[in-house]
Amino acid sequence: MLIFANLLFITSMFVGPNIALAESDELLCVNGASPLNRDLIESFNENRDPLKVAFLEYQKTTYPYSQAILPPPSNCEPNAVFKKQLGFFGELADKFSGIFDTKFDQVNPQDLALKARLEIEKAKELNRPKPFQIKKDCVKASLQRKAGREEYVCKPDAQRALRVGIAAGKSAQCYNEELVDYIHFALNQAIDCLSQDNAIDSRNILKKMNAETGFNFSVCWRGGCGMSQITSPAMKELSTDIGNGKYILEGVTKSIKKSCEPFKHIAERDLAKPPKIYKTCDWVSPGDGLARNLIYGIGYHVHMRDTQITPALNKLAPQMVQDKDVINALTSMSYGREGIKGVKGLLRRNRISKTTPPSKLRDIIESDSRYLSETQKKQKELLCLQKGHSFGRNSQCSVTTFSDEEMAGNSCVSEP
Amino acid sequence: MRLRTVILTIFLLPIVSWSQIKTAPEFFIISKKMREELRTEKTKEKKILKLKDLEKQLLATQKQFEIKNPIKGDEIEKKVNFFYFTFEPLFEAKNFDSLGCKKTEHQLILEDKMGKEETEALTPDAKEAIEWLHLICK
Repeated sequence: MLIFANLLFITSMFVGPNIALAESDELLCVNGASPLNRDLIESFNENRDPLKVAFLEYQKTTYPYSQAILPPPSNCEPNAVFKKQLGFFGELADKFSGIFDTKFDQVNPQDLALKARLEIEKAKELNRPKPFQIKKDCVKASLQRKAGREEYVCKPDAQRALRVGIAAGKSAQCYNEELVDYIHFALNQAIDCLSQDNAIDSRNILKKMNAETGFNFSVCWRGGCGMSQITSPAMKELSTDIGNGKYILEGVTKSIKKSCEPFKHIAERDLAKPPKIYKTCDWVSPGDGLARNLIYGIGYHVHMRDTQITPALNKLAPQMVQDKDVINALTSMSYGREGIKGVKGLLRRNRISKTTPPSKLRDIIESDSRYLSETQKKQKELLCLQKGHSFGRNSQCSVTTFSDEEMAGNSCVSEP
Repeated sequence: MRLRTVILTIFLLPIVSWSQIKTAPEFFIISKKMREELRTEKTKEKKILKLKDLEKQLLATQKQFEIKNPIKGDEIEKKVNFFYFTFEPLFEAKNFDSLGCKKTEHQLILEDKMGKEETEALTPDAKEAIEWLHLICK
């Protein structure tokens, strides 16, 4: 009876959205696309990958993004024999048992070790600074910007990605409210999952995704694939032995955070067998494709920040390493055509040293980086769309000014 | 007369030395020439030594630029810096075994192709750095 009830629950969880769509033919596209272009929505509805399942669960329970998962209580039989066999370690375990609120006799040594590790991880997790969350409104506004690249749809049963047109004008795929909810959920899950002691600045991720694709996860072209526009060198850096960033995926596999659950199987799979960039669905499908794209895109951002930008700045101007705005701006700059060489060159050419004030460097970055000025321009477009202003030449947007805080993305993030 | 010559030399020496600061295209030629000279060289150590010599020359040039323009570097310096930072993964490579060579080549490509299209060719500087790597690793 219980099994039947569970089956009924799971089935209703999966079938629910499809029925809702079938019942109502009126599809409201938040990105201004034609409601007839519903291939993407249909592939999303059919998807059953872990990220999608986690989203459906989230919709029902609204669990917090930042949450640690603890294993279920041990079912092992009391094991007093081990206590004698372990001698000193047995005594030590007895002392620890008070901390874990468990009697030693009730667990075996393996459980104890696992529990100890998890307790440490849990304590670390509780003390970890939580990243701010990107607001749904801003994702929605950004989706109204036209990505303008080739768009692909991946149906669960199809072998290859289906090219459905360009992500602009008549052929653009429709993004409805539920798809925006899903992107919003997936994005904040990935940011939380990949945030360690040094929390990811969500504003930076917002501006990057807004500039690259406007949160459109179904685009792919020779400049990059999916929402984060992943290219093969970046993919190799995180998933192969020749790269230096495998620790990012390894961290996901070992994480006890609930937010990492939808990404774990991908990290495990890719560490065992690196993905291929030309397999479009692996980067753009609404389930695993989006999940992979987010951990690679945000993971690469963290990797660059921690292994390239921070050390380079620390060498010349250690006083600025704690300045988040400077680190963010330089990390963003390294994504553009200037690359990491452009960042290092800028620091050297402008004689950045221990005596340079951070405000001076911020001004230099702003005036020197073409990629950053493009990003700022697109941030303004997002803010205009959020306020319902049109943009382009002689538009309402061109005469509107936004505060430095708004341009920095402050109004697009909220406390966790 | 002799004193005047000495004074003139003192004043003109920095100007002459500034005008002699090597540019990126010159470094490109120097690098190619160095590689040519190593074509028949068998030992890895000697090749690495020569590479270190190129690095030293680049670092010395960067210093010269800093003396010449203490506030902000010019476009000529920008190109020299670009050449140096393109080579940096190679200069910083710790070992040149099979995996080390593959790792370094990947870094050179990654840093050169960042923010560019998949099909876009490597810059001539990156191609030159990879030639060096192949020379050392073969």
